[in-house]
Amino acid sequence: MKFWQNISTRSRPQLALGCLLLMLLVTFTGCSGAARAESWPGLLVQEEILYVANVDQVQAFDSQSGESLWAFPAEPDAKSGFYSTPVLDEERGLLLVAGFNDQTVYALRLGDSHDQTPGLAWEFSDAEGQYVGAGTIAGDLFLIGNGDGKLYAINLADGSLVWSFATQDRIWATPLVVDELVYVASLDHHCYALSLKSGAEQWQLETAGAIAASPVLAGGHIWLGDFGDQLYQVDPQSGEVVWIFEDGESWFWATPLVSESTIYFADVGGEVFAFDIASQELLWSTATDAIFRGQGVFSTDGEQLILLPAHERGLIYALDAETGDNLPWGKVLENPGHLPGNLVTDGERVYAAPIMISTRVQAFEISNGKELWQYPVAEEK
Amino acid sequence: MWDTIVVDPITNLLLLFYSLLNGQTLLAVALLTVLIRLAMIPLTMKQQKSMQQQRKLQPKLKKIQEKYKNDQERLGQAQMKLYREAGVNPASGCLPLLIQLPLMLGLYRAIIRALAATPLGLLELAPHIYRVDWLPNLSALLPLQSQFWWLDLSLPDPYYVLPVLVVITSWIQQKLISAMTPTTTSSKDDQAQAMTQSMQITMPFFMGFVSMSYASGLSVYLVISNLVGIFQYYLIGKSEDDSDSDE
Repeated sequence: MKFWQNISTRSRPQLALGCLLLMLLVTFTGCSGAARAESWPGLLVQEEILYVANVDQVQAFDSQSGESLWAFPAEPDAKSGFYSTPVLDEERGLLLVAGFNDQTVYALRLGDSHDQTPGLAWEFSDAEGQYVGAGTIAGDLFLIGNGDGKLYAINLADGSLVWSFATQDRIWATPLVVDELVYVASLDHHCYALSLKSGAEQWQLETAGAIAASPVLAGGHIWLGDFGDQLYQVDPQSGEVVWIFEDGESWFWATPLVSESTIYFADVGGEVFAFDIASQELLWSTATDAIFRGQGVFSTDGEQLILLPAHERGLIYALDAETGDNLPWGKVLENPGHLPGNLVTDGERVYAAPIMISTRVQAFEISNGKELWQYPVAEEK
Repeated sequence: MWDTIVVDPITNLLLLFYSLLNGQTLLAVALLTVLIRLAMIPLTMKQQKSMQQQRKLQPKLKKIQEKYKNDQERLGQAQMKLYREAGVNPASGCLPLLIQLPLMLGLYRAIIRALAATPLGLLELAPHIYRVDWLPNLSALLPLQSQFWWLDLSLPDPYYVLPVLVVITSWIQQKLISAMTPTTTSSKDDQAQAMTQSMQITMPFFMGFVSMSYASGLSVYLVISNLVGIFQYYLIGKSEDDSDSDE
């Protein structure tokens, strides 16, 4: 106080400005600590193994017990970051994972037993951006989009580049392969159809907004949603827009769920839409106070949609697939963290991977939402 | 509250400029920075006027300080009396500062937020975008085009060109500000002057550090803001010199 009194009044504003700026800038600088995730863990469950691109490692778990089987790299590496959903190449026994910051695709050769730590078969590091979305296997190729705006077609045998296709912005969506065409959506407001063999462009479709959700095939057409709050049904051969839904009020970021006759879109504003695939008729829409970003799953009998909201609310939604009504499966998690990633299911359990809390993986009973296991277990945290 | 009142309007204004400028992120950041700095000129002028008035009282203040150097209470009373008689409010220099700071920090936060380059950053931005009929669909503009020459405006400058410019312009601005605050011979001000001089060196380097660590779009804001500040303080200093020579 005496120091402050000793400072002449004309010096006070300048000193106060400097000190305040320093304090506030230090505060803001501190907000970007290494613990902050940049995206959401990708999950894959196959043959009773749950693979998780778990931010600083790719981990494998026994899907029934939650026992950790192995991790790649062996020690957590927060600098590289793993978010892109792992892809299993059963034919070659490879697990394909991609690093966010190290811009590298790793092909891990899986061992004979589930708990055997895989070796590195090859790596591909030509890309100059971050890997966010998952890749797709098509024949001998692994197709994956990158933050440098390119779609890379990588030879699964040795990791060599077969072809690449450049868009004008980042690719966060998983490419879709139908017959001999690859459909890739970009944040540059375009969806492209490419030849699977050569990567040559067949057509391009300009959309109102960026496309971060993966296109899907339903009823013989390509369906996609964008950040312009619109949905599109597109002819897969010509790229012609067959139908457009312009009544959306928020971004469509979650990859849609497709049943036999209905396609379901959930938007960032918390609204869920069900359309008849054949007639494009809006069957129902339900508004929630959630933020939907990740892809949901169907219940085992296909009668329920289970959706995971983003950001701190922790209420997992279960909706009646026929009517959109809320069902009692809905569950409030005590410590939800940020939950905007995709859900996956093996028909018995639903798996989620929250971020920014100590719990990294959770498994729920698909029929009632009861938590079965979590990793790390409570006493290990 | 802070977001709703300050950061959200500036973020949406930035997106509107981006829309009007045909997707030129750098120009939108530059235009917004210049406009906000220009909008703050009346406040800066008021602050400078207050400092100028206080400076004119310095000879009398020195005499009072000398007279009551052993009696802090009487010194305070005499200083307040002097200010009152001269019609000067010593706190009036702080009010403009209190209005400027939230605006500057709001602009800073808006630029960082609007240049979100990661999925999580973009998802966190989505609820803050206005959706009103009388505005274009601003959310459809995202993510912003961030490529400009060698720069990805959403990432730090890899060649450190902008951080160097930030340090240089911050230093010039600090120098001009301190030049407007004349030194005194009072020993009581030594500590404050030492701190002010220290700030002249540390602030530019701290700003340079921030510029190296954050999106280069923020560096664009810092450089342009500093240039406007330099121009402004140069004009103020020049007008003071002219009025001093007239007297």
